Amino acid sequence: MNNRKDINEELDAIAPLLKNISRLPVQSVPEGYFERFSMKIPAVSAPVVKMPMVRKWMGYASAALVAGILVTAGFIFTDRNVQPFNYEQYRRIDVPAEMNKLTDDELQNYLVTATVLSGAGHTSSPVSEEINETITAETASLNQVSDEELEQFLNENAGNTDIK
Amino acid sequence: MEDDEIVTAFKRAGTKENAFTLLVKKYQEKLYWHIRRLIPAHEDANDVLQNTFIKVWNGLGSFREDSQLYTWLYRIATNESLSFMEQQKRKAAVDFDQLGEAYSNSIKADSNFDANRLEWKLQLGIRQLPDKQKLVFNLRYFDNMGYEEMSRVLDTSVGALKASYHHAAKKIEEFIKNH
Repeated sequence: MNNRKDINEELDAIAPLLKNISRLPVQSVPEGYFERFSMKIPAVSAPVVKMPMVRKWMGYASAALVAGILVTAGFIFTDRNVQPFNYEQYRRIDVPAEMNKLTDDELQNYLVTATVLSGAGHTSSPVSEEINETITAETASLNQVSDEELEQFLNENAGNTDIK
Repeated sequence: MEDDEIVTAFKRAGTKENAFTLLVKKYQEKLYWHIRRLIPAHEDANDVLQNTFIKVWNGLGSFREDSQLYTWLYRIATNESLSFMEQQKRKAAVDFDQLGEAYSNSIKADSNFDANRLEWKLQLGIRQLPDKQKLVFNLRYFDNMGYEEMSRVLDTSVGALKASYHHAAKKIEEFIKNH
């Protein structure tokens, strides 16, 4: 009650109107609420047992070991079927000589086929069209050269493999 | 039963439940009204009271008795009420003013409401205050709590509490005079 006396004196000084207002609760409460109020004792929850740190780290280490074994095995077994690339056989090929053996038709067929297989959707590409035009132009100009002139050209350049 | 006897009995397995029942009976009304003055709807106040006692059940075993039991109980009830009010604000995505208006409407919806009575004007005046000021005012005005005890409940300095209470009392008086 000492507090109540102090509180009233305090209110006299700051807000005297509040001093004489009843402090009893005015809000409504369902009838018999406090008589019926009871707390259900909360169920005892299972104690949480914390895993010891050592066991935790051993678990991580085991998991890492298994993962390492699986990855290593994966590398070993998938690599067996891959043959080492034989660079040597391709280094020995004389490409210019082999190219000279090809006919114009074979070259043209290659260009057309390669363009179709690459999925360009065209039966010819700008590059092969340009080559076609070049071959056609060159064939046309060759037709204007006489047989004697051709023979003379071939005799002068016999054995020259660098003719472009 | 005295508070220290209740705590001792609670800490013994054989008498724990009985001690808890006694504690609930002793403090249910005080804590209920403390909560209800912050949260106007009975159903909500009941929920918060239940949560408060659940926390008491879980924590009383390790209660250190370096403060009064009822201070500790008030502290739990206060924190639960403040959490509930924060939750309400977040759920409704409203600010403090809007929630204050909602709470005022809740008071007016009470079956006992009488706008002419000073007690109801006092309740509406309290609703205008920020949560912390509301708490300080309620604890001093209705629960006759001293500033020292209040500082343990609210974790605030005595000086700040005095200033808060004086400010709150003046605002409420002004509200009542104008309505």
